[in-house]
Amino acid sequence: MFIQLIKHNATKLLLLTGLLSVPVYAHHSTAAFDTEKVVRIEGTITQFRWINPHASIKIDGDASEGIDGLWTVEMTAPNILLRQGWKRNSLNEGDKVVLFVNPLKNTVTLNDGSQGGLYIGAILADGTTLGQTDGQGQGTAD
Amino acid sequence: MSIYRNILLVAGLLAWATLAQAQTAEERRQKLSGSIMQHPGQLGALAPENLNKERPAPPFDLTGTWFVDLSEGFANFMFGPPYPEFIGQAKTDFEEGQAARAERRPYRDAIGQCFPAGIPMIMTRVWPIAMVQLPTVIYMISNFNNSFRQIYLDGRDYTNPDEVIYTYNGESLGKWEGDTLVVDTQYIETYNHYIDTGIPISEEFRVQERIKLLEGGEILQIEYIMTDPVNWVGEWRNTKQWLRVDNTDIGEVECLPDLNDNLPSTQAGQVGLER
Repeated sequence: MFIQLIKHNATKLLLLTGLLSVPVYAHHSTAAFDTEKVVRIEGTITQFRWINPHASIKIDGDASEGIDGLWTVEMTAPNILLRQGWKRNSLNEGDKVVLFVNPLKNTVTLNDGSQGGLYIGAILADGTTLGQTDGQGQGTAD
Repeated sequence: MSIYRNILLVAGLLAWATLAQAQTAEERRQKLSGSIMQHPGQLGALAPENLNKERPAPPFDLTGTWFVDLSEGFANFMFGPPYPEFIGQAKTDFEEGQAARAERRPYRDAIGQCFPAGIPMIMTRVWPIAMVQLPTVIYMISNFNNSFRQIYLDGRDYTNPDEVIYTYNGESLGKWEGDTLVVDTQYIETYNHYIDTGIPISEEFRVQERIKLLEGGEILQIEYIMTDPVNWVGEWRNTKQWLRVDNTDIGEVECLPDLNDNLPSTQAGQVGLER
């Protein structure tokens, strides 16, 4: 029975195996992020860029770990984000939101003085959830 | 009455002057010849005279939009393992890159710093590639930074080595061998141009792609045979596949100067780049 199950689902299993392979390298390396750790940032949007090859967010707020203040959040391509429900106007400057990110492994202060994270999920001002918002997960930039 | 006659006279003179100044397209091209890039003795790939030459029908047409097949693992965008035996600087760099990868540290993230991916890495970016095949040339435009390749099929020779301008995608010439399109590429720019985890190339780097269409044109398969006697021993071989994707188009993607201000990973990814 088990073997039959395996046979019937071979393609799905193969696909799952592929999906579980850690996407270590995307368009550029995302190895700098600690994908075992999730930081919750509650704050105010100061910038949302809806642009290829990567969208990005800047948020000023309180972080569950690490340093409060300005964070720069790297996202994947807008076309991929559309499938999570993101739109060009999902965020506006001044919006109060919650973001979930994998932080940079080393607490590096970026050029603009912000901390860096890789997007996992968001709770928008109206309560809409996008991506994974249960405090777990690994972001991807592919 | 004389006013009308004078107006007609002036209009006639203006028309004559305009006609006298008009030049043929060829005359205008001559005027601009110092600015128009040329390769004397070789018709352009899109010249009607070149396109319309009699040639055998090609065994297949790559025209379409393709997406690299990573369904069996994301790491398949890389061209190894297996790897050849690296030598010299490449051996050191390969070991450093592997160590960084094992520790999930960035290393030589040149692409993240807006250096072109170049051949072969441009072919396996996680973006679609549009291909347009004509009798004389195949155009490939990767959606990733809209990187452009052209593979000439019109029987031309490589550019004179004393005049050639090295580029990240190199100069590619293709010829048909049975049901396979064989593409040889050389003149590949080496500056911050790496394969997989920071493996360098030299000016002796050569790539042969043996291209086939499988499953009635649904799968594009390319066998890569890469040589670089400065950096590794013998041939580095790897076979990749792409899936035809008819429900998408490529769009515009630019690596803007301030892009990395918004991408934390790229600010951390400069370790090991050439300066």
